[in-house]
Amino acid sequence: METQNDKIQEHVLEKIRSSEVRMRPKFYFSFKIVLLCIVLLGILVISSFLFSFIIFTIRISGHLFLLGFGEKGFQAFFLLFPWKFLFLDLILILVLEWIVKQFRLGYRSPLAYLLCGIFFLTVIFGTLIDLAHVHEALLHKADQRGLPVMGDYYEHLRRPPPDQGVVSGFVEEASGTSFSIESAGMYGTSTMIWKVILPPGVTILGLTKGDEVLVAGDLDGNMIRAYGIKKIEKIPSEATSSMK
Amino acid sequence: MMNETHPDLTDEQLAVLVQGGDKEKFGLLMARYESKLFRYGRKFLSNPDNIEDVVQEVFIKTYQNIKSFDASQRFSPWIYRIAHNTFVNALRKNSRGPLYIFDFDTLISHPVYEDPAVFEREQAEIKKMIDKGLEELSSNYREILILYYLEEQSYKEIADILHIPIGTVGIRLKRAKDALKKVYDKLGLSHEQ
Repeated sequence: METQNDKIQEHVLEKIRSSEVRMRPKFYFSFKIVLLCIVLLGILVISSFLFSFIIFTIRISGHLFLLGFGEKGFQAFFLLFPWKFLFLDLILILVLEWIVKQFRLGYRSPLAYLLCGIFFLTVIFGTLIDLAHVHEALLHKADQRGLPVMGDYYEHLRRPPPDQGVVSGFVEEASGTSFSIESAGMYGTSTMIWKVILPPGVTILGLTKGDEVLVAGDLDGNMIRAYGIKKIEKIPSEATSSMK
Repeated sequence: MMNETHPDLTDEQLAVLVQGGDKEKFGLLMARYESKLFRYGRKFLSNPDNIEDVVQEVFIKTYQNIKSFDASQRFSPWIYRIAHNTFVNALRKNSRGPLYIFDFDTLISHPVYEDPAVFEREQAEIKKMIDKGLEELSSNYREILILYYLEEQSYKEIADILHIPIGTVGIRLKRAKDALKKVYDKLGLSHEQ
């Protein structure tokens, strides 16, 4: 008597014999693995690029100095931090983790170690991108309006919207308790003069015309009552010119 | 043709013959795994009505993907992996809530002690308990008990089937046994029955 099990076997074999069910060719699986590896590498590069961009953002905008400006500076740093890039990078790291888990080495590794490994790789590649001055070159291109997609993001680095009371610009003239700075608009299309009132008891030391400064304070029209001022280091011109 | 059993050929050798185009040999592989997959599916899916369709789907997927099987590895965990995915999909269709919640045991490594003597000692008792208390357990506990005690897969093989670290297999198995014993106590049954 034919059992239920035999029926299933016969049914499946019948489908195989009639070519209703076919074996996928070997290259299908090889192609899938190659594709997965390419996607993995691509996402790793994008993730590393974003990581280095975050580091570059903090470094070049001078926002790291805000942490030394007390509680208000800390708040401003928190508000100006490029969170969207960080979240995007974290999502990419999770996608990377999912892809790596498709391989034996990936799923056999504990999740925390895997994430640490991927993050470590992102940091290494990100540092290499940073050392290659890629972002300086892109910033230079953005300055010349030659960077179509990321241009605005790079422009915001040096000329962030002053909504949060943080303005960077070049010293125009300085007097005892105040000085003025010229802050360039996007792509240098417009400039704005800000009068900076120094915190009580602080005098201007070491600032000369043309110095680039980061000022954090409370906005009052075109006036800033500063609670923190920091001179920003200039981007090495050799770096940008060598990447042109 | 289907009545030839070829006991001299291993599963891996049969798989290689199928990869080479010998379609009939796939019947032998099905004959070897059909009752195992039925048992695995029935226990894991808690006696579904459509178990025949699900097992048939497993065999069809196995045949479609057989060229991705690496003959230097064991065939059994490979086909169980396909079965696991198919069963999980079947469970998903019949369940409203999330099937698996995040397992914190996959986060860090855990020491692995796979002791054959303990397995020998426990197997008969756990098998009996599985018969009565399994349905009360969550699907991930159910599955690991089935794979280890009924299907007799090793920790390493279970890690390959479920795509989890080997250390997680050990810790999940321990938690599953504890949960099963609790269920057994709740049902008022003795462990030694």
